[in-house]
Amino acid sequence: MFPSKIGFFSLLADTGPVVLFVLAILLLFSVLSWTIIIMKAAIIRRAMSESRNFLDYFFDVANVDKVFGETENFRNGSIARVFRAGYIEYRALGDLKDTRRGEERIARAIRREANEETKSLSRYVPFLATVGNTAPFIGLFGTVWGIMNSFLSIGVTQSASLATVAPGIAEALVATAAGLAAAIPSVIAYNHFTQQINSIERDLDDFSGEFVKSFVNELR
Amino acid sequence: MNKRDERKKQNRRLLTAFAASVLLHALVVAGSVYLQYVMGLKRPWLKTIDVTLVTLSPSNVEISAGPSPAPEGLPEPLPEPVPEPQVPDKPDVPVEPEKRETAKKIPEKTLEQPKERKKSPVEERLQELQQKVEQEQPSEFERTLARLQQKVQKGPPSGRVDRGEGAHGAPMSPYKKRYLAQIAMIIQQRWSFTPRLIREKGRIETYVALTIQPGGVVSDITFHEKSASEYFNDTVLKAIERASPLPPVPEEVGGSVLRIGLVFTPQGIK
Repeated sequence: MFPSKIGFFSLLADTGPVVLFVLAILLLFSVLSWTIIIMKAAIIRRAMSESRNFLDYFFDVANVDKVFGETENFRNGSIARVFRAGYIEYRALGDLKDTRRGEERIARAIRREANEETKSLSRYVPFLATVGNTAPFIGLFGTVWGIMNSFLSIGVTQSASLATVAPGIAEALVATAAGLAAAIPSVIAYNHFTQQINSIERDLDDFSGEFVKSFVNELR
Repeated sequence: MNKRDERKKQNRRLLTAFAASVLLHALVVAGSVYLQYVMGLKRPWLKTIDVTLVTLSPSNVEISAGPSPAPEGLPEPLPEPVPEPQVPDKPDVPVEPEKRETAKKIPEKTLEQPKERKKSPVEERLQELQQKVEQEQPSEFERTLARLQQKVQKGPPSGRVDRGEGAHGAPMSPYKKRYLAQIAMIIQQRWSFTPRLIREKGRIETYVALTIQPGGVVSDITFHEKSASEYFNDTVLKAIERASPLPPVPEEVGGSVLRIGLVFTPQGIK
């Protein structure tokens, strides 16, 4: 075939510094958002499955000491960790005879741990929303810049041939495409993760009361 | 201690995920490079983007090409050392200035013809030949041919040989000259570039050698010398690609594979 070099990557070689800068930012955004997506997908999946298994075990076994002993196997499960925090507080009560105060302390410890767990699960997730919202606009900036340049070159050359106009427009479209490529997975992942984190949060709310009740029963 | 361990574990997870993400992006880039360059998906639109909103008319290029002197000491692609053997073409040479005036002066000529015929039989013969040539060929082709013939007449030094023809130094037949001129004209018509887009300073000249198969298909395009402007080189290459297939190599030229050279300058093909 003929040896002419025309294509996406040779097009990139001719782009201006502004468009290259925009592309570099978008690439960085994409790398970071995929880092978060990969990390969070693993953490949330593990947290959900271990929580589910722990709950099965918790309702099977009535003894809190036995359940605590088993929590070692569910270290990544959010609900198991909350139970552990409650159990540690319950043990710290020692010989406290005031059941009401003991219940309050255990409930507080469980709430604190549940909050901690929610915070930990949703750490970095807002960045996905940021990428999803801003990347198309950054790409659009590159687009506007490229089209501005192509119109300028039409003005300079006083020629409206495709050879004059097309490279600038192609540059512009590359920036838009890169912006969308970074934004689309981020938005999908953000929605998916927030939905799953909300589900875990609801579970924590629901079962916190159950745990407190089980510890109070042990106190009596 | 427990918290610190957990944080370490989280950092390790983060690093692993980052490495996986970088790897993923590298794979995507490598995959698209592979698709573009190896699988031949790089230019699916090459033949379809054949549209220019403003084209350079060949006649404009022709006019500007006229006064530019042929570079001395550089290998010419078309010319061969032809001092004499142009017996059938000799009458064309003095006729050329008239040809350049094209159709505008045709009525005048027809008026003058009877007077001239009375003057001398040589002139009469000349005009006959001129008329024949005009009937046979379209005007643009004629101009290109005339320019090429003029160059051949000016002549490269006798020791020089056609780089496309090899070193035998044989005189170029009129058929071959005509064919080469036709090719040059076709490529010139397909050539679209804007001189103002050339940012590089200095001499812009590209020497290209190409092989024409008997059927006219162009193959084996090589740059013997590239100009400083990549844009210029690219437009030259695209012009040759667009011109393929060229008219089949005539039987008079040999009818076989033909290797020729062309010099492209912003003023036109030399």
